[in-house]
Amino acid sequence: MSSHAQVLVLRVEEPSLVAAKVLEQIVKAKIVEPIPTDCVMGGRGYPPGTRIETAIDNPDDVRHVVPNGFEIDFPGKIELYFPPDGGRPWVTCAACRSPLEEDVLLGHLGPRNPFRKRKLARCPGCGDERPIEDWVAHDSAFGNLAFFFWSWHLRVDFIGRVQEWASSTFVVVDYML
Amino acid sequence: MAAELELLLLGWIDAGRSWPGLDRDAWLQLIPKLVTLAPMPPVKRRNPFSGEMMEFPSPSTSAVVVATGRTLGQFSWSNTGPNELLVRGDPLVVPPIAREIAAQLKGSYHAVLIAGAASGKGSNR
Repeated sequence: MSSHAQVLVLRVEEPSLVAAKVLEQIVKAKIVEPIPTDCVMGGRGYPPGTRIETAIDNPDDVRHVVPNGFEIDFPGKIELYFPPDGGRPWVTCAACRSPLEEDVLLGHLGPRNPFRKRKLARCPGCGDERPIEDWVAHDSAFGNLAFFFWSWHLRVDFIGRVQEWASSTFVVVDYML
Repeated sequence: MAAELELLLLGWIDAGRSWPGLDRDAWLQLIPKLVTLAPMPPVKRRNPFSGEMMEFPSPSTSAVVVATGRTLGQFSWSNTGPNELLVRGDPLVVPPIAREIAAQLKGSYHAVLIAGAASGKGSNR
């Protein structure tokens, strides 16, 4: 059986401060419980609260499945979030919109040696060089903070509230496992 | 079958790179209104176990440009990430239609550079 999460991916200056602000508000609204449990995939997350129906369209489904919590992910760098179920992320040059070949993209997403000079991704179209996270992401999103809502189908007005709490724009990634 | 032709990636239509992006419902309502578009036909594939041909329904969020029995273009809703439409097809026929769709959806059409890597990308997606 597969698991699904809707993931809000943000790229912000201070990810921990933004995460704390959103968590405070989401707990205050009783959308999640304040004490983390094992209600998410492979980590700790915040289980559904008594007012979860103000955030999602499927509260009854969510209360009775696992995983069903709210998880905050700090990758510690800017990471590309995409569905691991076979969806293929791709990026285009921010200057000329030429797509980057898949092998090259994957090469730039691997682990980096922090003691070596950063390798830039060269555009096959215009020759511009820039860090991979400055390319335009499709079927995916670059971010340094992600809110995972496991098994939740978020209501549009709730997504708008999170945007206000975070004071930042984001991309919604549908995550399937 | 016409719908299975490999189509070149031409670009995408978006309304900014962050949420909410394009309006999915507005796109679904627009498909039957434009004479240049048709719903994407179901795809036939052979069942590897039974050997029989099977019909797989196409997503309602995809539409094709068909002329003289051939598929000349395809607009498909991005599976995830920014709400955007991917545009593939004939580089002469499809871009004007893409611009019209972008205008109707209050978005913008972004053409990719069609050369080398671009054509490779279009053929394998």
